[in-house]
Amino acid sequence: MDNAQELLLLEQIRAGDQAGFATLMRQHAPKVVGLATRLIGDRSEAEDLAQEAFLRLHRALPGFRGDSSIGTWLYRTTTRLAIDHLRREKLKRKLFFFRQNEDDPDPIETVSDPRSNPARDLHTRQAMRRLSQALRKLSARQRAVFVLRHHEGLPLQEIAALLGLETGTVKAHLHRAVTTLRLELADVYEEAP
Amino acid sequence: MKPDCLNERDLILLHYGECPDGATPAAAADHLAACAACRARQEQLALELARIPAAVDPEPAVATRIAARVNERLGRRSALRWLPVLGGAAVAAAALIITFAVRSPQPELVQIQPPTTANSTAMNLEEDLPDIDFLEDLDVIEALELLRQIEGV
Repeated sequence: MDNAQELLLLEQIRAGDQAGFATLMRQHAPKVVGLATRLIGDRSEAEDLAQEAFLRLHRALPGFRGDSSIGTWLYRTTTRLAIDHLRREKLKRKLFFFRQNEDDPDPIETVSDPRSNPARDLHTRQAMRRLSQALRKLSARQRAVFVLRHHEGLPLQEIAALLGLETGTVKAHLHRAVTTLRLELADVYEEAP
Repeated sequence: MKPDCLNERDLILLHYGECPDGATPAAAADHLAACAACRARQEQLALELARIPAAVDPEPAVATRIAARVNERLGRRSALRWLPVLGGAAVAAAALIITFAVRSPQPELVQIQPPTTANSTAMNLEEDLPDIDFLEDLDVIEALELLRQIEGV
């Protein structure tokens, strides 16, 4: 959907066309859920977070000026919601000595690739599990910066704008994130052919 | 590692196509071309980062599910939007009723006579008794008056 089509759709939604909003959601939901899953590592919670992002978008639409695209707005909102979520989870774990069971199936695994085969699926699932465990070692911001740069391919300057940080701070977060992940995944690298 | 070698942070930034802190991109590229150690570190970094599993977006069905849930919540929200209005109307109505009830004149209390029973009749008769005595006394007085007139007292 290009900018002109999106603006037209926005006008229809502002005029009360609920079907238009459903179209907008169907357009952006896979990306938003994917981003949220990578950021918080739990598919079910990622879907809740995506719902919240869309509800906020619906509330914000009457005053939406179109300075940024809907996609950028959703990226920003989802990332902020995810950082808040990760911080709350961290606090909860600290407060209640809650520790996630490392043997629990990782919801990231539910993200399936229809083109893959069982052997590759198994390897991907194991790799995803290890990545998810390693990502948990990062702070919320380090994780957000890494996911947005490595997986989503956003330039650091754009990430800085999304998160309301200085570019230098974003560079520092990326450096710490990559260093931690390399350490955490060292045995995976050794096992790999 | 020589003093002018690139540090890990700059290697990471170069890997992601960002401008390093310690050198211009051109100077960093020149150094990498000349320094085998930095080139090896950069290749190792690239190899490790490439092994991180690629992101896969969820299946398209998730979009339909999310859209349905959001629409449901929006529907509930629009229904709840009327709740404060209804609540306010109920409070206003209650206030009006109370105001009218306080200000309107109170109806006079009507004494309701208790139903007559055998006991109450007896009590009434007893209350009537002094009157009967009084009438009897009047009779006596009249008799005495008559006697006085006869006797000429």
